[in-house]
Amino acid sequence: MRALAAVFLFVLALVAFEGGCPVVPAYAAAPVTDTTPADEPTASRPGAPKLTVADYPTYRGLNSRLTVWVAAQLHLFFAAFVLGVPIFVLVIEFIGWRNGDSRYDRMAHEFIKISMGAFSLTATSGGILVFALVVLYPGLFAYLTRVFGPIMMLYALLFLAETACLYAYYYGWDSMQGRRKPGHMLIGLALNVVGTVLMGLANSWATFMMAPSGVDAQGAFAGDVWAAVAGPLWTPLNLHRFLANIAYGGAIVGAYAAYKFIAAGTPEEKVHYDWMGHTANGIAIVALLPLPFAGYWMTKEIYAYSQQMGITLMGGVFAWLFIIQAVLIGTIFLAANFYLWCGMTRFDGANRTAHLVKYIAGVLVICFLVWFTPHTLVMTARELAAIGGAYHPVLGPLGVMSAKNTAVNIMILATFLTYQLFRRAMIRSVEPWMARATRFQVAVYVAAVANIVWLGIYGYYVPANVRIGLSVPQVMTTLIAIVVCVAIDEVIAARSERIGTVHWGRMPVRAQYALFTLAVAFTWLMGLMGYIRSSIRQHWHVYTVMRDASADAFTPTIGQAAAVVSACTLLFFALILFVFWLSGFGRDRGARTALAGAGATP
Amino acid sequence: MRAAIRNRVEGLIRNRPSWKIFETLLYALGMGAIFYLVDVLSMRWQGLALH
Repeated sequence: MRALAAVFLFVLALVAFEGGCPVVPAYAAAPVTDTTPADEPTASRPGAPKLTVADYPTYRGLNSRLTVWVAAQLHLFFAAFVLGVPIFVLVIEFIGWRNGDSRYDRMAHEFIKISMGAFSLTATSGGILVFALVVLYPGLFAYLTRVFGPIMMLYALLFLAETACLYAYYYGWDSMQGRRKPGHMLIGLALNVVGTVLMGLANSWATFMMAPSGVDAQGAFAGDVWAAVAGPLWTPLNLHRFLANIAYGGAIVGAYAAYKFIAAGTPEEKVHYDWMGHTANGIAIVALLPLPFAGYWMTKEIYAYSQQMGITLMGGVFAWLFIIQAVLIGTIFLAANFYLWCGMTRFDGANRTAHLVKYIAGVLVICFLVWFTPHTLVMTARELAAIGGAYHPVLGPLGVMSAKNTAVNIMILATFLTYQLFRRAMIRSVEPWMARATRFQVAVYVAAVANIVWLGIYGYYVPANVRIGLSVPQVMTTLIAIVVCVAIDEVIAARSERIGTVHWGRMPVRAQYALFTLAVAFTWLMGLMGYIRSSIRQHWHVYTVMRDASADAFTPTIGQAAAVVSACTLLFFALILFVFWLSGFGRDRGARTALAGAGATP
Repeated sequence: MRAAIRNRVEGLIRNRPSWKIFETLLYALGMGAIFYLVDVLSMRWQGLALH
């Protein structure tokens, strides 16, 4: 529990730090590309190449875009996983070391073992992606190399360092115990620092293609590679991916724990994997809660960079994919909450708070429905006439962002309340001030929800720029409520009695399917949102600078995009199941004996 | 004697559910004021006015 609280506070601190940066977009001080592409390159420096269909080689009838799409998507799934897992592994290892509890250490080791299995697949899919780009999109790759050449070399070196750190971290686990543990954790820290820098460098290529900087209107590179890296979307994407990687890593190892829980042959194994699943779910939730805010920031920066791009994103054909996004995120919230509700059966004191679960479920379902209510419905002329317009007379107002922001903030608060009830199920207040502090927490929730709803309704009566701006106080309200409640909970928990024992392993199998649902929904969501982020460039390789002249320079239909994303998700799970199987393949009898001797988990 | 009576009266008041609700609403009002301040400041931070 303390581990989760520590991770949560760390994430919040990160968000607060990032949020504290000036809102002024980075590109305000950087060379800004003209949104109208000029025809002539500058005389001194070559501009971006102007390609024709003939410049795109084909290979054995392969669809070039599809090949690159699938390779990039798989690489991103694996990369997100192997970058996210070491972050929380290090935190868990640190907690185990501080508490002198070897069970944390063993769990962290098992998490990193799964990551090891996925690491080679990350490298393989990355290699396939690079080769596919070189072979199928040589013009684009040559241009990107011209701009990012030094960064690509640095990336290769850092990848080597990442590999060295990961191998040293994993293989040194058993030998670097006791006095050598701090050294081992330093290797883990280095692994995370290198991994995060790697992610940042790779992100810069994607953000450069969306919002180029460091080049002029013709795409001529000015020579300052840092200006090309630190584009207007770079920092928001870094933050968004950093948080998403942790959440995704948590969701995938949660699926691993669920898989092992169902397959467990002994009660000890059930206890261990139940605890592991619980921890993984907690990690996923903790990183998920601030994720929508990072997404808002990213979207805001997209709008600030190019309003046209923003409207394509939220108001054009992609708007329908945001309805699918809402369904998937709603699924994630419901699955995560359901798992926590099922998890309350592990505690003897859970019956005191169990009656509140149905109200939380009701709030979540109502907010979920509001979130995925579309603004404009797809209707026939007859349906339009019957309804009296393009918007539903009652549900129409729920289709706009004011309602959706309100819904998602309340969903986050409801999820946090579930988490809080889960913690409270284990403890009993022993002093009168604790009851008063709990009443204060109730008041915080009441005031926060009232403020969020008020801002949501107020948004209907103000101009668009003010309405968009209102999302910030809504987010701040949610974050303040969570921080205040976490702080009070920590104080109460430190001075309370624990009720009974925690019956780890006393968990229904259906709760494990919630963990599978979480992993699948996360993967699907990442594929979908990655597609949207990339596709808002439309017919540009590098937005407004380098045009895509290939035969595939069109926006796929929603159905086609959904099919490709779904196929990528299936492919990823086929591969990750192999990794799961592989990670248990070498498990010896000694490990089982150690598990049997470990007793109940915390 | 006086202290005992006062304790008794305070105990009666404080242990009544209505007092607990009143206390909670009082806290909520205070937090509401803080959140309103947050609304104003975060809008000003963006160069916008709440009203």
